[in-house]
Amino acid sequence: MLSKRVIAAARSRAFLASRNSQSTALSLSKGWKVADSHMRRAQFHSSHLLQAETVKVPQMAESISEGTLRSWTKQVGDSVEVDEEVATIETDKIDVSVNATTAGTIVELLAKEEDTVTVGQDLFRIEPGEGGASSAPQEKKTDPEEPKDQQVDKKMPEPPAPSSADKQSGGIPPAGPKESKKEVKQDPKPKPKESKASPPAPAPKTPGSRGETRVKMNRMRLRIAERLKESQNAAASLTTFNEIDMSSLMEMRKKYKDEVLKEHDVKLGFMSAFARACTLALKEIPAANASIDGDEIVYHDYVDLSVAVATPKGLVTPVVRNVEGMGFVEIEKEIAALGSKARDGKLSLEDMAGGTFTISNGGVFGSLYGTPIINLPQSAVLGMHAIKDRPVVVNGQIVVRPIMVVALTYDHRLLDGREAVTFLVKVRDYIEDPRKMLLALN
Amino acid sequence: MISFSFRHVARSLSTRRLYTTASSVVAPTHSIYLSTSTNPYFNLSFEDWLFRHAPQKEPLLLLYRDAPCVVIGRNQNPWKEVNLRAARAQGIPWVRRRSGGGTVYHDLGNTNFSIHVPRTSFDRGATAQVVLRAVRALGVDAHVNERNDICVGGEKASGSAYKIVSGRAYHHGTMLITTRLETLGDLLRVNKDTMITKGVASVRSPVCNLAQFREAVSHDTFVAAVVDSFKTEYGIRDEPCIVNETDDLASIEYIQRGMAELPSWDWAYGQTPEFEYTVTRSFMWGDVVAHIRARHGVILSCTLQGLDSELGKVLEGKRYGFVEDEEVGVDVSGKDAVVWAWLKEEMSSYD
Repeated sequence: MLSKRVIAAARSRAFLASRNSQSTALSLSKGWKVADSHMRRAQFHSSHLLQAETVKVPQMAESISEGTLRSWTKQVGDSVEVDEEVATIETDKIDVSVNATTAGTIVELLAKEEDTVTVGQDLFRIEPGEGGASSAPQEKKTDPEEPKDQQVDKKMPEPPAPSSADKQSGGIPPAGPKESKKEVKQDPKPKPKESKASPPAPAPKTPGSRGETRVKMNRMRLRIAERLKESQNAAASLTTFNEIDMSSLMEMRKKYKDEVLKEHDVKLGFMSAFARACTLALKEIPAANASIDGDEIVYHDYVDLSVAVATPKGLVTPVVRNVEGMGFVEIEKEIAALGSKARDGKLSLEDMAGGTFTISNGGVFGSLYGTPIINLPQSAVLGMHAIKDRPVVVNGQIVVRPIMVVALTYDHRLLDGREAVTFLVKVRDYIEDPRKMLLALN
Repeated sequence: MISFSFRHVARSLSTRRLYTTASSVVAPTHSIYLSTSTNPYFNLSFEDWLFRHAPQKEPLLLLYRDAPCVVIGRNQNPWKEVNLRAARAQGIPWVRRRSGGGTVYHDLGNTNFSIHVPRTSFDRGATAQVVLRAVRALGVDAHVNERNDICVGGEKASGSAYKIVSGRAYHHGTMLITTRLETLGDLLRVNKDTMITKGVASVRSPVCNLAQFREAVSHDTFVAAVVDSFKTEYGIRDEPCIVNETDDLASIEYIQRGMAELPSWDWAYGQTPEFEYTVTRSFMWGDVVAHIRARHGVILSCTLQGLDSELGKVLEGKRYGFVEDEEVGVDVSGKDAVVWAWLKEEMSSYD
């Protein structure tokens, strides 16, 4: 349970403590005083946070609200004295030193070097106390907590807390009695918590509890939020729907997927067909591939397709460039490559910049109907949904066909209803009979 | 803590009696200091010692001059900011200071001021006014621009930088009185557009000397005017304490450590933020494009297009600008040697 690193850290702190006993005692008591008051305040948070204090970006100078985090003077796992410099921030010719508010160990860094940080933003977490993993003060900490927190803490599931939980959950018996569970959580483990904070999920509450967990929105979520609102505000968005009979495409896929997999080592999905269909339709309705720049309409000679991919951190839209020149296999390969890059978190800004049209696939999650949102400055977005078998009428007969609903949200400033509907109808026609794509002018 | 008055300088007190434990036992007790040393390492270290050890709630003023040197900000890139070759040629050192901001040139025609205040009362506009009032009292029609620099007409006569730590903050800056402006121009002019640095870039402005406007302005008259302005602003009545590098003061461990740290590679070069540098050169066999990335003065990667060799890989992990030929081990007769000679020159620190 206790990793080698934790033991080594604890040993080194104990060594330092014994070497410098006078200041240790002082900082210990000061550390606990500070830690104690913080802990009572922090009752309703996930348990590991009870031990760590969060230090925020300090006030820098009059009217300065943000700066650049220049360097971390200390790293996770380092012991610091109270007031020792942990990081430096630069803003407008001022070099600002951010100091430890208490003696202790740095447990988490919440920003990267060269990040822009704002005053009041959480900067790093420090666990108060002069390490040494001494159990006596730890128990003192546990006791006042027990009666008050017994109920609330139970609800906090361990896994959402970052890696410390990974280390802790190994040690927690799966369905232990309340007391022992509490004890293990409170175990004197001044661990260096390595990973960046990912917001812990809101805890499932048993009936009667009234706690809440506040989680700071991470950068990605904030950016997504900003762009979505911008899109809603700027574009005059409307959505038009249509249904596509997927039988022909599904049959084609069934027939050729093994061959494609063998020959080209890539899975033949529907995305390539839709990408190709959209590209051909975009050629005929250039306004759907355009963007508004000030008071000009910019028509693009190329199609850069943004493909929406869901990653653990949020939705990203990497771009497949120059789709108009690609065939099905190439499109699939490119999408697969971007998809795995996205899931590994390796997408660069260039990968996601630009894009003249977006395709979003809600169908993989089972969505039936939906109105996708436009990715500014594009003028339209195609949303695919789940394929369901439905009774439809063909040549006067009722038959069962696999039907997919597609939605096109478009910017009415650029596209009129007629064009939007025509676009979607064209896409439908291409998908319903893929052979038509061969007849289209390239 | 034993307070020690520097007015009755070292002569009466033996060094040994003072330093029973750590150097912080000796604390500054004056509000105004004038350093007669022109050693930038001493002056910056002395300033830092005053900053960390003076009584937190009291304002403090320090004035000093340096022998010719270039001073870059804490987070700047010396290869980008300083014309290292010209500096080397003229025998002028460069120093990285502890406060933020851009690059400046110091010489004996330039006087530096440093105003220290409690962090809670830190106000850049107010401290700038203290210096501005002094300049105006000398008869120069100066004003403060939006970056808190003192200007006369459209030209800067002073550049400022600041530092904040937990309980204290300072505003320090230059004042050009009779500086050699052509040297300033030479040393600060660098043509490295293809060096992209994450650090702070200097904001270039045209400069002027105060003495251009009023001949009577000199280091001494400026110092006197600033001291007066400071005393008036903060209600101080102390007389300035004059300090010298040969005083006992200079043997304070904190200051000694500072003086040793400032010229060290770790501080001078190792504090450089990440940067990328792309250079191209035509050789007989074709063009070679080198793309170098470095961080904290160490090369992270060097990719070479137009040359099939291990040279790029060999450079990884080495100190940028300080790689010796032996470390690279190139075959003297091959393409590698020529390319290496070129890269060495491009990266050179002329140190």
